[in-house]
Amino acid sequence: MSMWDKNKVGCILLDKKLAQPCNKGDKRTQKPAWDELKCTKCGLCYLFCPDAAIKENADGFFTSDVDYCKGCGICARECWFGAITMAKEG
Amino acid sequence: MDRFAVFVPRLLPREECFLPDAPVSCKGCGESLAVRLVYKALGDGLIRKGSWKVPWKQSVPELKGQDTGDRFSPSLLRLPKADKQVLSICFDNEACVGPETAGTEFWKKNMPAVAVAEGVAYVATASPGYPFDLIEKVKRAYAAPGDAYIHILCPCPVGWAFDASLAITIGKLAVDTCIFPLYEVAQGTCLMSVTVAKPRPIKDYIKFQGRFKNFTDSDMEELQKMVTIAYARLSSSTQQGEQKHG
Repeated sequence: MSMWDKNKVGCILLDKKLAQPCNKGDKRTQKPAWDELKCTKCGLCYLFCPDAAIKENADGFFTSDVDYCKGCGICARECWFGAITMAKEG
Repeated sequence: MDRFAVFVPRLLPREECFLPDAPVSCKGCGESLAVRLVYKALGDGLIRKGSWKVPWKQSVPELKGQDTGDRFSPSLLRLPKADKQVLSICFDNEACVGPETAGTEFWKKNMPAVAVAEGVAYVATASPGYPFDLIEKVKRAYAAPGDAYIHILCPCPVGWAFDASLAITIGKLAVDTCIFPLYEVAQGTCLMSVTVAKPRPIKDYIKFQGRFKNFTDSDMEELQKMVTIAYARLSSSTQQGEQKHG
C-alpha cells in the first residue's frame, strides 16, 4: 500500500497531530524510572502527567514515552508509594 | 448509594484527546494538564463538534494586568452546546506578572462571582490538584441546561517561579489555604466541593513561589486577613456539600 492510499478522502487529518511529530523530550535533564517492586499499578502518575507521556505496558505497569516526557518530576513527587525516582539523563 | 463514587485513575478513559504535540507548553505545565483533563471529561466526539480548528484558547483581557504577552496570559476555551448555549472554561494562570506590574497592588477580578451575577446557570471553580473533581464538574457543566462557566486555577511553574515538580502540590495548597476555594453554583445554589475545616496558613502556599519573594510579613498578614474574610463570606452563603478528594 502506497503512502497516499492510507490517507482519507480529501486528505482529512482525523487525529490532531502535526504532520511531522516533534520530539519535545530532547531538552530534559531527568527521566522517571519505575521500581516495579513498589509500584501498585494505581495509575496516579498517568493521571497527573501534563504531557500524556506515561503509557501502560502489557504487564499493567506504567512507563514514560521518551519522545514526549519533559522530565518535570510531577510523577515522582505525586507517587504515594515512592516507586518513581528521577534518574539523571545521559 | 449514589453519594458514593470510586476515584480510580486506572478506570479513566485511556483515549488521549489532547496531545500537545506542538511545543505549546513548558515542563510541568498546570494549564496543559487542565486542558488534558477537560478533554478527557468531554470525550473525543464533542471535540470534533467543538472548535478544535480555531485556536484552542483565547486571551482574557479582563484578567490580564498589563501587556504580558499572549503565551502566559489566562485563556478561555469555548465549547458550543445545544440551543446557542456555551460552556466557557477559563484557564487562569494568574499571569499578572512581569517587570511592568511589579510593585503595583491589585486583587484579581472574581470571575466566578461575575458569572453568578450575570445569571449563568452553572458556575464552578476547579483545580488540577483535584482531578476527579475537575472532570465531574466539566461533565456536569456540559449536561446542565443553559450557559456554564468553569474557572480553573492552573499553576504555572515559569510565571510563578517554582519547581516544575511542585505544580500539583501548589494546586492542592491553593485549596487547602482557602485562597482558591472549590465550589459550584448550580441554579443559584452554592455548594462547597471541598470543605476545609482547618485552613493552613497562607505562608505554606506562598513560600514555594518566587513571585512572592518581595512579600514582607505585614503583606502576608494583610493577605491572610483578606483570604479569611473572603472564605468566611463564601462559606456563610453555601450549603455544606459532601467532601470530594481527588
